[in-house]
Amino acid sequence: MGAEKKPSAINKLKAMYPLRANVDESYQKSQEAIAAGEPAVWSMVNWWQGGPVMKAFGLEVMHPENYAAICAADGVAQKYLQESDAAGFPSHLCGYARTNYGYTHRLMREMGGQVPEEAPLGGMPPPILLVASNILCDARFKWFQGLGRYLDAPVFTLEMPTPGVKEFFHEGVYESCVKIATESTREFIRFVEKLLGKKIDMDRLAEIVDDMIEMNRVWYEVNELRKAIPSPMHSRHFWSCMPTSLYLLGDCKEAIGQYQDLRDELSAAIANNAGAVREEKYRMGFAELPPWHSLKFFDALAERGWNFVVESWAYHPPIPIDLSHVSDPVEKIARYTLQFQTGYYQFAKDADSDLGYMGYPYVRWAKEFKVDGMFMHPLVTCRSSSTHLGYVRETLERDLGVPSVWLEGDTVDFTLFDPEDALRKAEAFEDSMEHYREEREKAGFDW
Amino acid sequence: MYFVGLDIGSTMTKAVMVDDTREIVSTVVQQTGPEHRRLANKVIEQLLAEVSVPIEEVTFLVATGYGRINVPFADTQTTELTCHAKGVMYFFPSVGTAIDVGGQDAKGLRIRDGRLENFVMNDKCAAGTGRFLEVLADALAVRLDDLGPLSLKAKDPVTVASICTIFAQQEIVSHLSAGAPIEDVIAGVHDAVAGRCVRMTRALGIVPDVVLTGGVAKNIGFVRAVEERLGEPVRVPEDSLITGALGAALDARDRYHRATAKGEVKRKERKLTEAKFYE
Amino acid sequence: MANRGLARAREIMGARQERVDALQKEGKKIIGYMALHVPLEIIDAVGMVPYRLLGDIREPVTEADRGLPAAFCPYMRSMLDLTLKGKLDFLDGLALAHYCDAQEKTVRIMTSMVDFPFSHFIDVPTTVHDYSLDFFTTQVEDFKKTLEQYAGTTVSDDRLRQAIDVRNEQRALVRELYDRKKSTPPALSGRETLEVILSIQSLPAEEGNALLREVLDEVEDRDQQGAEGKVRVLVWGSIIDDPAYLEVIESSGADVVIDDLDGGTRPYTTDVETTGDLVRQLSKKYLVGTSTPRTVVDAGEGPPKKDNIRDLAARFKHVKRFIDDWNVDGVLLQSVRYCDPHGYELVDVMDYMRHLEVPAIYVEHNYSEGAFAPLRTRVEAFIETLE
Repeated sequence: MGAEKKPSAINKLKAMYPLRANVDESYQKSQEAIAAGEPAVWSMVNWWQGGPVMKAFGLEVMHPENYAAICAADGVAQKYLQESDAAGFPSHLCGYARTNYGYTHRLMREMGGQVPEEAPLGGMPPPILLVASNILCDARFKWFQGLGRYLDAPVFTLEMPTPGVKEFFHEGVYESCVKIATESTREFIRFVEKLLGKKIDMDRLAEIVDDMIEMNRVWYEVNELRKAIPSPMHSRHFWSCMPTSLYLLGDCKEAIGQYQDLRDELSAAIANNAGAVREEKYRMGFAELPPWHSLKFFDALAERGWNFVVESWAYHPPIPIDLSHVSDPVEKIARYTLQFQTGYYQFAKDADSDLGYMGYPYVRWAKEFKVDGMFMHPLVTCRSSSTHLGYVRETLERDLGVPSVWLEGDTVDFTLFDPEDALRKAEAFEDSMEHYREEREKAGFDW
Repeated sequence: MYFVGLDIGSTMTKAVMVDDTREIVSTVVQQTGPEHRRLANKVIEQLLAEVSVPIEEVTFLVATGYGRINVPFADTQTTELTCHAKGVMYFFPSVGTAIDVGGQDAKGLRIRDGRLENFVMNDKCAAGTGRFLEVLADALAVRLDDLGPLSLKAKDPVTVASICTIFAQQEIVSHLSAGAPIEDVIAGVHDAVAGRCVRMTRALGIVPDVVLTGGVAKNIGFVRAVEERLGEPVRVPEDSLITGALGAALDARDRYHRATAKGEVKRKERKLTEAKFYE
Repeated sequence: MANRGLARAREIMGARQERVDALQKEGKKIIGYMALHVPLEIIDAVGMVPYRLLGDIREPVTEADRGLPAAFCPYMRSMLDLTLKGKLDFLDGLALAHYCDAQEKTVRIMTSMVDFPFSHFIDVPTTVHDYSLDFFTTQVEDFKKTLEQYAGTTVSDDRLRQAIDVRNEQRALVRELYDRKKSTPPALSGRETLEVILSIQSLPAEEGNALLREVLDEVEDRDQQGAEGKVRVLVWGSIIDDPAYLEVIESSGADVVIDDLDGGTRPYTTDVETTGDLVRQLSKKYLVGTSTPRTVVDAGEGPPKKDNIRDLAARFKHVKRFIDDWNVDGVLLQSVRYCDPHGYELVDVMDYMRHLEVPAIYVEHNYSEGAFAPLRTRVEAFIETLE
């Protein structure tokens, strides 16, 4: 008689599985296509700016950011990081970039372009094109620029503006933002046409763009349902379901159906008053990037009644926007990604905050999702995903009476992450959350 | 004609005298101690006394190391990077990459065509230096000199993952509490330090022959750990403590002959004065 | 101030706040800026004084943790620290720009945590395509509008042209100053040059030009007879805003004859053309005509396939020109720790130096006085390798 495996304190969502399966399926499909002679493209996450264009061209897109996380989880990143050190890249640079430099060094200089055998999931073959993006961080184009020492693939850098919050609402600024985003995307299309020697199918692009916007609209609705008490969906589910949207995995129309199923499942759960954890005692927010390698850690917290109801702003779909009046799909793309970047600016402006993206959204979410505590996870080599956390902590505590707990980590150096430390802090933090709940009540907040 | 090199490290002060045929004629190694600034002249006195050479016969004297700036009787200062390179080349002319690990810092040296070509230094982080081993010896109540032989008996070295010496101390304590044999813990720490030194040096290119020098190279366990990490055998000078001072002495000879050839030798007064305290 | 030329520059550097207080007493409004992309002429044209904000390597950073992680650009941490300590309260406004991630994120935190009478954020594109310039031009136009509102004045084309002329003159004077460093030995040291540059970045433009002219006269007459030239070094990299840093390099046996630094040549290598749309011309100089590691410069038209050396040559042609024209023996690449743009860029610069067979090393430092001794050892050792 063996020990019974204790069921997880986080519920299972049926509709999550097909969404999660898109990740592995997509890798597999890409590998097959590439083996059959299709060219590979390496792309940064570009928040729906470059993705639909590459989809319309039928390109096999690989994502080095995501792949580096897989290498890290698989245990081969160490070797690649060493190569990156040997090449002289400073060790404070993004762990994903360093992993990829090391991988590419091995791919090109040691293996002559053949995927090395230790590379997980079939590896990433040499690309014909590198698609960089300047959204949210400089590494995401400097890194690809730096790959020039290993690869002769050309780099295209997609432009998306990062306007100031109050400045965004000045006369003419929004239009100028749309213009640069549109023209950059149009230039990208021309660039790829020249590279491939074939024209893009504009009708196909238009279809993909509309499907993508609809998919994200449904996905947004899904996340709105998490405002229910108890919340029917945990961050762990979110992180499993999110890649389909962010990476435009598989067929968009199918994805719409998958997110609709998820939405329906959550609606049913709400009707049954069923929450994502056995007993929801504390509603938590999480910022920013999850510890992919240690997600089981959340199960231990779920046992204590910690339900993570909102997280990772950078992975969320934009607040829906009606672009049906825009006929040009390229302009639609531009306006849509701009909506991702600036969709919360009005709220930030009203609150006199200049952290219109990444930072202020959490303040709004804390209210809307009735968050009891924030779990802050700064990453040593990812400054972009860590810089807003101090401001968020201070603002939440001062303005809304919501406390934060901190646990440091890194994108690829997992030794920095100490979940035991967080669990040790958990009880004390629960006391803190209880205390602040009382404070909020006294101050007249409704949670 | 004699040439003297003086290497004032933060832990140890070393002095070497060579003659014009580059033969080592005298060596002194002493703890630097808190009064290191005043010690230098005494060390030279001792160096000369060992072989009864009068100070006037010291043709040129180079100071190197952490304390090199405050040696008033040195004819010039040369960095420990250049000096260690020269010292290592003396023992192993075929050296490609050298790693010098001292009590408070570590250096990587890339040597090519008889010269120092490139270098890297860690003088900020104790975890990649002899300091970490001192902390370990302290924590285990073991003599520093015993760490090496003990580590060779390890069966299953532990992993010490902490970046920082302070956190690593905690890790060591937990390994011991969990019942890990002392040999395994020592081997684990050796590996951690070796890992940092090797990693630092990779940027220069690891080119055989690889030479390991510095005080910590006397630790056989550490040497093995470096070899493991490199995947290469390493060579260690018989007296790894003196490569810096030896290099400084050789540098003194080089500089003197270069300057003589140009007709312009600048020398200090041959008086072993105490260093004056500054700041 | 009775001093002239270099002595005056040194005096100003030692007492920047006093100079600024004096200007404010005269009724001048002081607008702080950091990034190279802020078009100074617009601030000049509304009658205000642009003032380059520097960090303080001697001030322990005690407040910045409220808003920034520890593993972060130390210059920006210093800036946030100084802001939270009220050291920037004297400013009449801030002109901010998207210079790099660290700066872009820090300035938003600064203005969210502390109130300033005026602040404006200028977004800067990453690339230098036509559409990028179009966008940057609208950003500069918007900055002009809000500053005009704050100043209660409108800037006519004539006034803008005047301001541009004065700044073009300044840039030409700085270039002339650097030309005097082509000689052996150079007419002024790297330390002196940095002092001059940092002081003109703290003064109204005309005053800065007068100082430059004094300095040029002074070094013209310098008796350099018999002085030996030392190893000629180009310093590349991230923020150096304390002349003591260059002093350490130069007392280690080098002459810093030229640089690729924000507090050095970067703002001064190109001028603003005064034909046609002035705001666009201004924008062109500040975006396309200003070299920073964040700006992506493609190799240009040609086959889409990348040729790495062609790409490096296009990006770093100004560095090659410096090396050739200033007769550089070796290149010192330096950066504060945690600087990303320079951190990625330096490997490419090193590759290019290797291609050109120019000796180069990279030194990282931590933006504090504690950085000097390690820097000295490394620079001395580098020079020893060149001997």
